[in-house]
Amino acid sequence: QTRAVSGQVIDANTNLPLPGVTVLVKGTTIGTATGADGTYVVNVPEGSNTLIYRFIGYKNVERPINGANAVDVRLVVDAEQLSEVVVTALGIEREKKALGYAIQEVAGERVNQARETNVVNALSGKVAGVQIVNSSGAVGSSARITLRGNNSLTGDNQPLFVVDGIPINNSTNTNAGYGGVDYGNAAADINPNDIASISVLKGANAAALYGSRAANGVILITTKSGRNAQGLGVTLDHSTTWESPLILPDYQDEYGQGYNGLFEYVDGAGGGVMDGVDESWGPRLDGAPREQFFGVGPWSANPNNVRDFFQTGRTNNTNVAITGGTEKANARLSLGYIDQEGIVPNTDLTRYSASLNANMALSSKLSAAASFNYIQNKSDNRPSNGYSGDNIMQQFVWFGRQVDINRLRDYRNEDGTLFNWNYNYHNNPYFVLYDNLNGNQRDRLFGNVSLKYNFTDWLNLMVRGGGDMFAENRKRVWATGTIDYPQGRFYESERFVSETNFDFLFAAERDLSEEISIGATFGGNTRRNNFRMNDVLVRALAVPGIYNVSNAQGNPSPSNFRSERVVNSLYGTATIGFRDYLFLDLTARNDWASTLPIANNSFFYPSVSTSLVFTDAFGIESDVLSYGKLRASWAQVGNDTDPYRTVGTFFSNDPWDGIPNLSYTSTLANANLQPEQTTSIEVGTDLRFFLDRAYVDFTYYKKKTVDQIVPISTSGASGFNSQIVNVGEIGNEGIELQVGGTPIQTADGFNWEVIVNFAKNRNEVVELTEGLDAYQLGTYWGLSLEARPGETFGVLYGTGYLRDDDGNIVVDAVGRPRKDPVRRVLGDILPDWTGGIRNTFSYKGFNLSALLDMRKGGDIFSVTHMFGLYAGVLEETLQGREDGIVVPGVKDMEGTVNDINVPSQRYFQSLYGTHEAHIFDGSFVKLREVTLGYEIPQALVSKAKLRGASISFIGRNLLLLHSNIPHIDPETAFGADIASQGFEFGALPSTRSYGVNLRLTF
Amino acid sequence: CDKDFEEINVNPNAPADVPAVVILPAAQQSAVSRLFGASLNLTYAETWAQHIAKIQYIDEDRYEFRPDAIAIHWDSLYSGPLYDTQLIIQKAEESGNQAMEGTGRTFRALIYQNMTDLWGDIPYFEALQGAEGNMTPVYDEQEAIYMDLLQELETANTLLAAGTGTIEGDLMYGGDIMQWRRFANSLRLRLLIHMADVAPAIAKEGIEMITGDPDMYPIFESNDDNAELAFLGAQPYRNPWFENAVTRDDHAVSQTLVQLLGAKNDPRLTVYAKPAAEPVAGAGVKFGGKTYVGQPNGALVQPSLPTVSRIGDLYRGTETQPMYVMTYSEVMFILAEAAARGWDVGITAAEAYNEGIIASMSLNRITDDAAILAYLAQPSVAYELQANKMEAISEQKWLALFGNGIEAFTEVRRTGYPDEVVEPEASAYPGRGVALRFPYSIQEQSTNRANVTAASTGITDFLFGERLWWDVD
Repeated sequence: QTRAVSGQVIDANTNLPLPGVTVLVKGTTIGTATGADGTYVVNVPEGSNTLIYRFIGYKNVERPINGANAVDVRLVVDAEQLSEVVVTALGIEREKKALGYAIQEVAGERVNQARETNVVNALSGKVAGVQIVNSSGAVGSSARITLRGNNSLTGDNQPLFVVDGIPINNSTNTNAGYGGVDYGNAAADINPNDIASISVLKGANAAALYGSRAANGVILITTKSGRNAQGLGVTLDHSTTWESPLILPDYQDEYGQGYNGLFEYVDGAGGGVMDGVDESWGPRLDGAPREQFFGVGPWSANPNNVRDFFQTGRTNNTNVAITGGTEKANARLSLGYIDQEGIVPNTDLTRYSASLNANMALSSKLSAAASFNYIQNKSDNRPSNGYSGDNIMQQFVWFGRQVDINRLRDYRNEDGTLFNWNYNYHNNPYFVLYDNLNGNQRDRLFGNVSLKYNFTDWLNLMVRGGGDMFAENRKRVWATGTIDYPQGRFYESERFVSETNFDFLFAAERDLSEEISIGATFGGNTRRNNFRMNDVLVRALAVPGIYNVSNAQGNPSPSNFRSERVVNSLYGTATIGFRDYLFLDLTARNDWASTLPIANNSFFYPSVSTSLVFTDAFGIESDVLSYGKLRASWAQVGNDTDPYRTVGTFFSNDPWDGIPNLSYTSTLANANLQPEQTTSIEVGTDLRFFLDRAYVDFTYYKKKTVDQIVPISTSGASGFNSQIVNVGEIGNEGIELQVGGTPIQTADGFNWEVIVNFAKNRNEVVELTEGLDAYQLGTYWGLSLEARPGETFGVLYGTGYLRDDDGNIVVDAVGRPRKDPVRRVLGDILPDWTGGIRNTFSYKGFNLSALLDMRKGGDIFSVTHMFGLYAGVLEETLQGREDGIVVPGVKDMEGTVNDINVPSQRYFQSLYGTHEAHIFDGSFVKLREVTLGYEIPQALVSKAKLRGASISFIGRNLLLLHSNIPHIDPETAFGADIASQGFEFGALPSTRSYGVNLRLTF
Repeated sequence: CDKDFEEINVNPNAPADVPAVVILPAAQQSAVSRLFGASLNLTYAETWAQHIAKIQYIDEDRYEFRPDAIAIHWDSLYSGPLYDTQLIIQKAEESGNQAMEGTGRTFRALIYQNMTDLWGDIPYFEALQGAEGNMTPVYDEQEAIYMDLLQELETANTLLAAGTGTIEGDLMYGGDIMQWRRFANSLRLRLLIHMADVAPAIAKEGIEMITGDPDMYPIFESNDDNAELAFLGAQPYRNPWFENAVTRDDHAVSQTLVQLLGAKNDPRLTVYAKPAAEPVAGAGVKFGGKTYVGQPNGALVQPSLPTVSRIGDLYRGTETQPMYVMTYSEVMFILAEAAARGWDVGITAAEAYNEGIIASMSLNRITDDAAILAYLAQPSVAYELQANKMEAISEQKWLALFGNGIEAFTEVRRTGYPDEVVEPEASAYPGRGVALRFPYSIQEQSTNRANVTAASTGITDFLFGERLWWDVD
């Protein structure tokens, strides 16, 4: 038997009716939606006494019926940033108002809205103070994330990733500026479909309880559970997106392959006149018939030869999640499948993931939770990158502009020999992609099991064990006939990476009186990291095509490596709350690290933070300022180092005719290392206005890291190229601002919400160490990325133009700019500020959201520009082709005006190594995401026996609206580590993606 | 809370200490591979000495050096074989193995000699002291380095002569102590002759002392004594020039070399060079019915590849071809020069000159005695007929040094011969002439700035300005 219950739902702020609100009978699948006037009628079965009201953008409300026939409800806006309870360090849920430090939450829907498969990229523009750099447009390429600048001279400076309380590996390859393969950042294995929310703990203050690795902040991911499941629920998501290159270099299309205007093809290997040359300083593309690599054909432009090489990439992303539960137990099972084809032919990535999240009350006092994730990440071929013949982008820089790429698709002649436009330097790009494969497979398991025992209603104990482990196979093969490896070659490695964590945590919470509440925790953790790798390099194959050690010609070079690291910790916290508006938090932690010398392996670090809700404290009740909080905190975090840095060792070279030969390491070890220490202060405020219609979240922070353990570059003349030392002081100071609100909210359901994120960070190298002028973070083509005392972290240091006292460029005897023999700072890689603006419009089930992402500053050394000018392929090189160039400048230090005309080719080629000519400002504005969603009305959905259905159109990286750097995407780097930042060469173009997503809930 | 930590942090992958016997082969193969390999030697020193010229990526030949490459050579020589050799010497001292210590000191002197002849002033007395805390060694005057190297070689010869201990792990002489003595003393002759103009008294005294007492100071007596590293012919230890040729075809023989060999009708032309496949009519020189075309150094324009002569197969196409660290023929040319200067070396200049040429012919597989004798009798070769004896000796030495770019580049700068070695056509520094030195590592501007800045006084445009100590204009 059922009875009808009716009522009206209105907005608590505006008192206007809310249409489209879902009204559900708790514990059943019975429900309805409110009409245009906010009213509803629902048939409630016998035995049910609770109604649930849900509406996007508002907080859920549960109401008992208690025999009433009419239930009216007021819903309160729930901008998720304002949600009252947030997940903090160690997974402890805290009232946000009690926190003395900044924490920013991003809801799972926001993360997954544009169906980005790499969770790091999905955070772009959504959190203030986060900088994300995606290295390239290759499938599964890595993305780098930093919070509040760089603290460390080495390492990746990236935050710790924690999923459901367990730290997750986010390792990346070391940089590959001179060639390599990007295997992605390991956190990209996390399935965005499983994410319930992400808490970004930006600084040491929020993260001190995570210990050492939290100095760069923490990305705390909570996965979806079956906790609020009502019976069985099934959600099916599927999206398909298509990818295409966002930006390609601007090439010249007037001159073809050759040198000094000459080109006569004979064999493509230097047999003719300049026919082995891979530059485009040849004859004008006049369309006249000419002998070429394919025979006689018109010598004409192929303006789209590079664009035509790329294909439309495709990503299918399918996920099924099943939730179910009773009051005592619930579970969520999720199965995901991602299948990607890259924009580069024959590159792909597939990812299978399965996760299970279960909670169970074992007794009234004991509960258990478990979460397991299995991921298989597999690619048959990933594109190579960096300055290497394996990188197909390299030969579009060293290229004959007249080459018709379509003629290269069949890369073998009938007799099996290779066919190409050049036989001197380059492999046919299709041969590279179809025969020289870089596959990998990573099988990964992470998860944890925890038990929680409530001794009383105020004291509990949690014990938890968990881990993250993966086995990975990587194999790179070079087919026989590859220009660099005519006898073929392969490299294969097997890696095993694991981290296990065991924790216990006592937690107590009590109200001492009406006015004072206290809480305390005491816990311990033991963490163990293991890494093992076995690899082998085979330099030549006996029989082509068999990539097995048994098929090696000559001696293969095998090697193996293992390392282990243990960190044990004890920690505690205390919280005191006064009248629910003043809070004081204290934390303390001591770590013992195996990697430090025994005498220095224990280190202690405390933190203190406080929060005052002054609107409550001073009884401010205003329609303008509805809520106000001030917060302040001080924290320290200690840090250890990598294993085996305290004692130097010998390394083995390949045996000489069976004779072992070992060399001493070129890195000087240090038996007296001290732990690193980061100290951070932070103050901020949360303000809400106009009955929470608008809000401001502002943070100022200042932190310094001292005694960093780094391998500093040293003069080889010391006998060592680097030295492990405690060094220096790095400072970061900055602000983070988030402003948001709902400027328009109308009675008929139109809603406009806007969120602005802005962050400015100053990252300064305060001091290094006595006698050390610079610390080199990375170096390519003579330009180094350095930390120099008094300068911004990460300056580009290299060769500029020689200039006279008035700043004029000085030219040499033939009219080319001279190089300044004294190196100097030419730029810095850090942005002046970053920001994002998201606008969301919703109306009756429609939802339109657009995210602009922007960066001001941050210099990049474009090696594409340097070699693109050298090789005469870029548009700029049309200058002076016929008449030469007179460089604006002077002939000598006395300032005699230059009048020497230099041929275009000599001029552009002389810019090689003059780094100043190739450094650009990396500012950009990007239209990062656009989504248009439609929630199909409940009335229709119910007929199809569904609980919900929605469809959305999504686009990512749609437009590069502003950029100061020619030819390339300003968001690029050689890899995800610090040494790779600020350098660009031949990165696969970043991708623009667009597609459709369908979600069905049963 | 730190149970077992000491054990956990012991590196299981690599030993903290090893015996000298396994370090010596590493020092030898890494030093020889670098000093005589395809980059430092073939692409830089041999090219700047104008034995070789580049035909693709002509940059280095135009003095557009790659700063990264130079930095790697600088750092790697110090932190690699030099540091390893220092460890060998320390271990030999500790164990009282005088033979091994003498070997280590000789080998270290060899590396320093090559480095100072490229760069001039370099860190020496304070070098390799990183483990003692000196990370920024000062650059020492080349003269002081030379004086100390002479002393080191005296000590080495004495230690080797003492007869205690054995040399193990020796890839060059298989542990033959007498051979190491010959090498130490021959190397000393090389240092001394470099000083012939700048410090003639010391050079004369030293050379006369060595040649005057062969029992005390044995030197190379035939090609059997040559200091060399014979490559295995299997990867990764194939001859570096061969290895480079597997994938690259950037180097030809220089026009300077071909013209000089051709003018003398020198049979080594056929060993150093291959005939041009499709020579342009009238280009190059004819020998044995074939045409050899050298490539002008630092050309503005790349040649059509078939029109120029590549490096001969012995040097470029032989996996097992040894790298000659120092040869008997060089010793003979040293003695010829000394004798020509009027110093008493127990042999006449003409004898030593002829013996040097014959030894070089032999090393280059030219076995026809009659042809060699005919060559020696040619007016362009016969010692007695040469108006400028120094020029004749220097030219022949330069021809014999093919393969050893550093020494050839040194001799070109020191003697000014062959005077056909002139500024590359499209020099990056037009009008500055032939490079006077190697550029210092740009890395030093970051890691050892004060000292490299002090040492750079007088150097302009990286390669010019201040001359090396022995380069008396």
